[in-house]
Amino acid sequence: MALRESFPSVLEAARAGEGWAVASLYESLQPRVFSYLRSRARQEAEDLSSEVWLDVARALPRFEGSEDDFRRLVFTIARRRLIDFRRRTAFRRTDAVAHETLADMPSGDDVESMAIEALSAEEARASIAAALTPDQAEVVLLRIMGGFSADEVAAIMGKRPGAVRVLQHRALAVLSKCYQSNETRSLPEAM
Amino acid sequence: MELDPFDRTFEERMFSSHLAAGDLPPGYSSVAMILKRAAIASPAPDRTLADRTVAAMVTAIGAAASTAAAPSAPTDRAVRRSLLPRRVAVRTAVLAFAMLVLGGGMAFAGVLPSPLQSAAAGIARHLGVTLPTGGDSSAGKPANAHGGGQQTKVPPTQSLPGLCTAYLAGNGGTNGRKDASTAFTRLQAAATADGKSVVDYCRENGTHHGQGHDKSPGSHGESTEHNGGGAQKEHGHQRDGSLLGEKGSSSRGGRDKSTGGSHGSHANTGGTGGSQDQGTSHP
Repeated sequence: MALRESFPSVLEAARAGEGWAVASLYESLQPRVFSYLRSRARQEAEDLSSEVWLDVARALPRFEGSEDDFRRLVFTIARRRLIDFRRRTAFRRTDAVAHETLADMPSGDDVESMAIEALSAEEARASIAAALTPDQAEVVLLRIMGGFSADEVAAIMGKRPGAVRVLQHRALAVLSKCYQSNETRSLPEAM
Repeated sequence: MELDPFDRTFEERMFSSHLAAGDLPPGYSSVAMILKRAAIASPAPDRTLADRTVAAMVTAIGAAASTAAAPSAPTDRAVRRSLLPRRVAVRTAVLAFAMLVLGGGMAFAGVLPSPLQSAAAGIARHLGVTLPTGGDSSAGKPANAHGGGQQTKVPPTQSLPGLCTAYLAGNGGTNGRKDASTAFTRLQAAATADGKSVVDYCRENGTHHGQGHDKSPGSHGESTEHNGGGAQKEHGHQRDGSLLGEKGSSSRGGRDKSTGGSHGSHANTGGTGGSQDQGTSHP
């Protein structure tokens, strides 16, 4: 939900500490930020998103720019929070998995039921993250969740635009190989 | 029209979901679908969480705004950093003062190495203070027996009578290889410096005879006294056994010891040399 023309006034009010304006900024981006964080850190997405928005609030009095700039700022903070979280948990090599998740996972002989059409948005993001390397998944998820161009993703990730394009190209190639077998069976129904 | 997967516009259209099914190369239809599905944002998990987060954000914005508005108080690190030059300056000043005092004291005592001593003397001369120069070896050291700044290797005054006695008794020279001893070597050097033999030197300067007079009151003899910078001859009673003394100390020693010797002389000789003795030893 983009604010578009109302963004400057909302931003000004949010800087003044108006609750409604802060809520507008939050609601305009929170679903995408939360989805991005959940695709990378499933269990800690809620905590991480709260931390991200608190950081955004601290940076808000100094922020100047357009709505796209604000979106870039929010996702940059989200990515840094994610990196911090990964560093913290680097020595803890266990990922907590909810019981429901295990119960919902298809068994080994139920591969055909993994038709792409049946995937929810969250499962689609999870399958992308599982199939790709961390950098490739980062590029793809920032592009589709944040709506950023390759250049913007490069700025957020601190990489060169050419490197980001190479990463996204390889990511698409890997994904095409992963889903090629499924495509032959289930694509006619899916499309 | 099927797009080339290596075309950049193809990838851009894949991510923006602007591709029709017929445009996709083989293997990419599923990818396009999954990207399209993944782009759908999940709904916010919890309304109360959202409310709590927004409330916390409002508080954080207020705190950040007040921090930005208030004049920035210097942090501990900033204070420490600003104090650092002052602390270094104070330490440097204290060290420099200590070095100045120590160096000045050493220069005044004349114990600095020659180049430093001469440099210090040059500086002090400009200030109207006379300091020993580096070449002045007598500075800060006891004057030698001959005085006048002339430095020869003369045996210590107190030991000269005994040394002369020992030498004249035949312990010097080749007898007992005493020539090798430092004391006799110095005695010989002192005698050579005076242009005399050791025997003559001892007879003139050594006071073993005179000392004998002192110890045995009433004895007569002739002795020579080197007192300070010049020689002082006394005929008659030898009043002091250690007259080849150091500058300053010899007169005092002479005065102290002459008391005993003079008393002895007076008692036995009835003042044959007593008046002369008194006149010369007490200026």
